Amino acid sequence: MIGERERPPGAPDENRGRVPQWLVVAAGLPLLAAMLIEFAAVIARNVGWNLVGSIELVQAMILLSSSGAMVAATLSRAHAKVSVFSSRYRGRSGSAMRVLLAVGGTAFFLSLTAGSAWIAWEMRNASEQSELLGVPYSPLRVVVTVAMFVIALIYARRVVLELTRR
Amino acid sequence: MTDLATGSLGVVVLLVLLLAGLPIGVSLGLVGTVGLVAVLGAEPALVKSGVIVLETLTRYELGTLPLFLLMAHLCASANASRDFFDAAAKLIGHRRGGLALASVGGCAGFGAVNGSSLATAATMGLVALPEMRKRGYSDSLATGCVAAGGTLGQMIPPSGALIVFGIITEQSIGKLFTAAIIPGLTQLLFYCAVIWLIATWRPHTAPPTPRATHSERLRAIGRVWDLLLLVLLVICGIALGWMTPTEAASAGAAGAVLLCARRGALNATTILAALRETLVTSGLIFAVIIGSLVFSVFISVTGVAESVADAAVRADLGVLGTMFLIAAVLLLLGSVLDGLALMLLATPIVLPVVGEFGLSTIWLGIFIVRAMEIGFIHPPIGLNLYVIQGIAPDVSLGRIFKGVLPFLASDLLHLALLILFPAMVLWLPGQMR
Repeated sequence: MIGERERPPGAPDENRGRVPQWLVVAAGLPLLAAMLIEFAAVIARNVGWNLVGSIELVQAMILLSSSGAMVAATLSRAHAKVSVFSSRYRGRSGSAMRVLLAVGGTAFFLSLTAGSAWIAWEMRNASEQSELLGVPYSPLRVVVTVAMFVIALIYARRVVLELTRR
Repeated sequence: MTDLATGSLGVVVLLVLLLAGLPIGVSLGLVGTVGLVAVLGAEPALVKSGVIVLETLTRYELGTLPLFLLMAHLCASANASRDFFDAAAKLIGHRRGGLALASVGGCAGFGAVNGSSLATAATMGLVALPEMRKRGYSDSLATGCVAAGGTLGQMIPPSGALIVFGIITEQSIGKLFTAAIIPGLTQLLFYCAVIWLIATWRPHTAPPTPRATHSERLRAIGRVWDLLLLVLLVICGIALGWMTPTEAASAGAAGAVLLCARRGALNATTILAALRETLVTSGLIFAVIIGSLVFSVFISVTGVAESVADAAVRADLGVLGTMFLIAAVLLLLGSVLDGLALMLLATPIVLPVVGEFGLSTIWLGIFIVRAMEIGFIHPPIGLNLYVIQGIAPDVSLGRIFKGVLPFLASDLLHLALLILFPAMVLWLPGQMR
């Protein structure tokens, strides 16, 4: 939508197949569910009903969908970046830069994994849930932590692949 | 090292990482996390970043983004860009410069279901460029008007950039969308004026085309009524307070599903393709939002933003002087950073400055997005120029830039007007219920 993707706009999408269909379905279904719940809530409100707890359901669906979306964006190398200089990386120095960039990605998402895992662990016995429908928060925190870890692994795999290619 | 020095060093390191090609979200988040570790210690830094991830992904407003993206991808599958251009071309194409006017009109219409400069320029370029060139329009005008018109996608609601701005500054996305209506429409009028001036002064660059018959016009309008209805539902729904932005996005996406079904374009392949594109694009933006929020905490903790605000007050340039200075810095930075990086780097630093001068955060959002848009059409980044060259490879980048120059001049004038008359931005949201 905004920002330049790692794959330049208009360039052939050679990595498209790398977002597996099951991930599209797994992250897409919660998004469609959020759409339907929210749309139903709007219609219901206009005919005088009140769909209690629709916001809580939408929040949970969006969390599931967005966790998958971040993994999908990483798999398809879609993360926005500035490519003024990086598009000119060639040879061994270019390979070294790509390793460093992938290490940066690994480090950042590992820090997010550690942070979200820390909170999930600290709150494991708190039995927190949403007010109206009682949607439990613990499994949602686990989903986010796993998603961040998977993204870190994807970046780490790029480091290994770049190093073995040299 | 003082906290302020650490913060300043962090800003410099961030610029280096961005220019080195590290993804924007990762650059912001990495600098923010390492900086927080240096200032606060490892445990608070990690816990803070964890809290940011969990709070961001459970925010109700976050749903606005993927749902609007889904609406955009489904509308694109239903041939929205071609229909918008065809309708505008049939109505005004026979006038001198009419196809160029139809192109920017089509960009505005498609921007109202899309929200992205690049996507608007790319899709309208595919539709409008061949038609204009076939009809004898000069390459520079044809490419320039589509490259510039593409930026309307970023301003006319629903705008992806404004959603991101709303989330990172905790502002009402509905107010931001409403505030963007007058700037978006005046930007469109400015572009129309530029085309009219070019067509008047250099008539050979924009020859008239045969006039469409009344029945052709009616058929063309008949093909866009459902799209227009969807656009009106979304924009009016938010501006009149009938729906929250997330509800409007849901209604828009559901409406787009119905629209695809009505047009016979709804099948498993279309839905899966739209979902895939939606997930990939929203995933990249979520990563950027999380990185940006971590960076904002770092900037806030180190006191960099307050120092910049103090310096701006001490410089005694007045509100206008300071805002024009900020605009100049943003445009300069826009020469080396793309729009998203520019917005996310500038917002936490500029926000307190704007606050010191009593200006609203809503106004800042429109101002920054307008500066971002200009970055899309001026070299060396100017992504829209590259997108258009990808569609018309036989037209040199220099020629495209020559074509976009008059629009760029109108953009700078428009930006100056937004600074001089903040009411252009703030009047409409002030009328909201």
